Amino acid sequence: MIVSTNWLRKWVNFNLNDAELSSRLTMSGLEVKEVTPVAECNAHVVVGIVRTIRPHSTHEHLKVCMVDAGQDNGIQIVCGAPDVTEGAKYPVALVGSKVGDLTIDSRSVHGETSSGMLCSTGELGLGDSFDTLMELDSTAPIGCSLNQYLELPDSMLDFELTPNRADCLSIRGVAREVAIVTDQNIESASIQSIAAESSSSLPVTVLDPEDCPNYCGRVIENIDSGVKTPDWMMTHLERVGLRCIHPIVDITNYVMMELGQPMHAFDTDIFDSSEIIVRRSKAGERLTLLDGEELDLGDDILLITDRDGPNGLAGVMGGHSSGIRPETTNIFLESAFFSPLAIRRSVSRFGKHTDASHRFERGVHPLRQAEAMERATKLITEITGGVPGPLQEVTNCEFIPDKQPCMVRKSRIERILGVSIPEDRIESILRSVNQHVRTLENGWEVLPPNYRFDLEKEHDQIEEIARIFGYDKIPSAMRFEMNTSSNISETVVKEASVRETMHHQGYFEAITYSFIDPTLQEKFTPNYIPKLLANPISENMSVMRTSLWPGLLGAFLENYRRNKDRVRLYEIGRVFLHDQEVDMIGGLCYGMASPQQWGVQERNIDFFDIKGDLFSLLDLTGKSDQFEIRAQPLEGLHPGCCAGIYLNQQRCGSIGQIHPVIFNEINDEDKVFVFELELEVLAHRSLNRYDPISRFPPLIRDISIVVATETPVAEISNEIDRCDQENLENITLFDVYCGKGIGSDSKSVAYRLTFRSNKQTLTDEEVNSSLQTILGALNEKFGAQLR
Amino acid sequence: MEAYSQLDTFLTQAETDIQSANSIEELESLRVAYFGKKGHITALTKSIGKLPAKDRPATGKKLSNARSQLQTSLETKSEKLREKSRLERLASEKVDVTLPGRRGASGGPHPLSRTMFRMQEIFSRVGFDIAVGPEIEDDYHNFEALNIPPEHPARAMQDTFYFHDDLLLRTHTSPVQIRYMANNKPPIRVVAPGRVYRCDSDITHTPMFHQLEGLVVDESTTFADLKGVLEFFVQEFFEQDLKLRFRPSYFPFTEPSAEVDISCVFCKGDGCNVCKRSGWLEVLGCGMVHPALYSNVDIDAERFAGYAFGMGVERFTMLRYGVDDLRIFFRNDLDMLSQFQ
Repeated sequence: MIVSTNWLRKWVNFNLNDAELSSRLTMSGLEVKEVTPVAECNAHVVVGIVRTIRPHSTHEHLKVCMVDAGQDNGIQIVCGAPDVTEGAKYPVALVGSKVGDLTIDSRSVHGETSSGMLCSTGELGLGDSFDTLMELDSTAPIGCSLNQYLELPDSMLDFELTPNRADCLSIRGVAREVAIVTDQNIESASIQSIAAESSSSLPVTVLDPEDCPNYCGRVIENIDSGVKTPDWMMTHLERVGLRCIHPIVDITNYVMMELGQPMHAFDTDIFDSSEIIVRRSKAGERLTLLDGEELDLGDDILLITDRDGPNGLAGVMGGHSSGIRPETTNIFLESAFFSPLAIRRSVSRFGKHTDASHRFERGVHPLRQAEAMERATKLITEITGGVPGPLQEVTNCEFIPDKQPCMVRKSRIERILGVSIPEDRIESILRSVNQHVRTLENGWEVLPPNYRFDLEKEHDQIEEIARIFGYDKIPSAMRFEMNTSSNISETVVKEASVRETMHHQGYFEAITYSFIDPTLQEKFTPNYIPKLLANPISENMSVMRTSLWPGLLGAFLENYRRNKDRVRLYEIGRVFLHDQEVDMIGGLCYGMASPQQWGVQERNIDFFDIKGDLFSLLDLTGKSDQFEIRAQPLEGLHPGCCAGIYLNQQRCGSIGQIHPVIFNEINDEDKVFVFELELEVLAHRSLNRYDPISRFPPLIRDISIVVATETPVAEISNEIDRCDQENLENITLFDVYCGKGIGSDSKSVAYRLTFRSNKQTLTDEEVNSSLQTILGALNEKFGAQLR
Repeated sequence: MEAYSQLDTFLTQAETDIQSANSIEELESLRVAYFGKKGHITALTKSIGKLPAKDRPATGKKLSNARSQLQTSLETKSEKLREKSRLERLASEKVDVTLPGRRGASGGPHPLSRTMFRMQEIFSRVGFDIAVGPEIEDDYHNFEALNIPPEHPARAMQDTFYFHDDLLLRTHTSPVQIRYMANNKPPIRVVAPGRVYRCDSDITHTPMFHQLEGLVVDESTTFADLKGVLEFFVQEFFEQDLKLRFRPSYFPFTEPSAEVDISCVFCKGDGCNVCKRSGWLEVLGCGMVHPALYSNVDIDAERFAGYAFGMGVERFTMLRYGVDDLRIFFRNDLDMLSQFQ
């Protein structure tokens, strides 16, 4: 909300510059976002009246004006503006003044003397109109400096108000706060009641008093439709960012800005003006608003209606059919207290945020409707004329929000704030916000004013004390606490170790969106319907991911398109299933096995590179040998290169090569490998157990066997392991070979076997016998032949 | 015997031969010529018995001296030759030490993770545990239990992503406060980092971002403690002596509430483009836990009180590393990521 400091000064007398005022208000909870100065004009620009106009002797588009600017003699000014009018008042830049970069002097314009300039708002830096003169009110005092007339200079303070401070959504409200931070008094509004000059009125019926506890109305007839909004009011409204529309609308806006009470004016000549009914809508009712939008109201929306139907969305916006027109002469003026809940219902259903709804939603003073009505009536009768009818007010006391006194304990203040504030200071703070305060033995009983919707309970009062006392005056305390509850067991694998392992293997962490493109998702989980956002940002961010792969692939593509020849990315994040959220780690790798460098043979990565990376991660658990990689078909992956990751027969992840059909834009020879693993399986490791080192020497045997190509090597290794549980200390696979010397459907697999006993030195005979057992078993199971 | 009488001549010649040997191999053949099976010294030693008995002791001694003299010379020369050949080998093995070392490439954390970890580390040093909660939340935990009833204007401030079944994506990490208090008794001292979501996307907003929430509830914590802990955090995080400014503000789930500004990390408060000439940067929101929250989690609001705070991880990351575009975080461009190795 924007407030002009000059307007503020009409309510409170303060002696601070803009920066100091902004700082004090900001530090008391009314954040000033921006201060915009409104520059003054040159001192020699004054109000002048054009007495006579005659055409220029040689140039017909120029006019020679005799202007009275309050000096002894009239001034002759040659003017090119087509709209210059005899008898009208304009800002006159006198000789010696500067307008923009132009210095005004007396000179000849095609043979006619011109000793000044009639100005537009643009030329004066007050607006953006350059082609029409700035016409001033007929009441503007001739010779008065324009600065004085337009209250210049001025400053616009733009407030970022928090939703609890609806009481500050007016000049009067901000002035109250200024008075507190400057220790001044606020001028009270001197608002007299206006006597009725006619008996015209409209019967008002409030059918839903809970939504509208107080409704004030008044008929005003015979207003003059030819009048324009006076300069002073326009100045004020423009300085707070409101556009001038029509004198009646401007006056209701002015009163709203001044007092905080939104008002509305209906043109009674258009709608069936026999009565006003305030009620909730019924399903099927429709209303066209002032902005032209037609609403299907649905039920339970608070309306201003007549017998024929809705004329306005109460507290939000009037109806098109009853709106003020340029030719309006008879109006019904409304000033009501609508309950915040009723207005929020309308706002959230139709998304209409207006200056009025903004205030009603947050709360206006529930009993000051008549005050605003009197103020507006006075302004209307003064500015546009008109015959006011009697003030009508329908009040339902039982629904007026009632303020209850609240107990504030001194001990509680200290307990919450951590500072001991002197009692007299607390008391003066409590009183400074217009509360009724009664001193008790251990605290105070406080009754807040009606307009403070945010002050209800003790903690509200403590906040009020804190903000006026000043948060900066509360000392900071630093009590260090030992963290005892979260001693981390040695068997917990920290997420940081997981990350570091990935970093050491060359992976960069990516963070990708949790919502992804459903078409991509479907390629990996065609039979799973993911959780769908009801209001996504866009279609390609509309489903919750069930895998980290689509996001990683997106990040990969971003880099692939930028011609990166080596990409390794991982992400730790959640996937979203219907019944649970699961933390996963996913990895993606593509391109060269190692960065290009001298002395290292370049090669592209294959499945076994990413599998190696995965197992470095699994090593963190101290039991990577318990994980099993099982070939199985997976959607979205290369049919010959994909597997499930198993621990204790439970699937906990997947690994493989992305199917070439997933992305058309990737070249066929470019292979992308991925894995994904439940983070939980990495979270724990078993505590290390020392195994005594054998004093006896090992015996080493290399064997090379030939088996059918499709025989899984893991099964051969397992079988070897099973054959000698006692003395076989280590099995190392050191070669797999296909090709010359081996049958076309066979492969040779070579192992180095280390035999060693804890009890004795093994003999060649013992080892050879064990080897025979192994070879026998391999032959029987896999048809293995010693090579 | 003549051979014995010519021993001195032989020794002189042998000494010359040894010294002029150019390689270990040459030296080895000399050794064989002297001490080998058919070597000269060996032959003399064998035939000493043929000498008259009276001559034997003197000749024997002479021979023994000659043997040890030759052996010493051979050893000395051998050592010299080995040294020479070692030096030659070393010279030939010289490498260009300026050639780059062979290595795999290392990766690194995402800058946002890095910030979150630093934040957690700082808070864990002053006794905070880590708490987590779901990202798909219900209305109760995300709003109602946080004192944000339906149609509260604060809901309009947070554009919420909804699912069709009345669930939503959490708009802040604050629901973790409720979940943690519901399951743990005071004293409570936790931070909850994580992803949050708002239906907003432009230059300064991404629909997903990260927050770190803090919550302390016990029998003695006050607003003064809140100020202290945040001052500590900010100094530690930025490793700079920064001023903090606590401004009264409003959040439905805290009261008193405050926005915290820090003196601008770029201009030290003098005013620059980043702080819009104000010298201050708004970095986080905080306050004393609103009593309404306690009633939802069965904590005695008379006995216990505490504070909560919430901060944007993206904001802190941008300030810490001088990142000027929020949107780069989720593009995962390696040119960006590699700057945070």
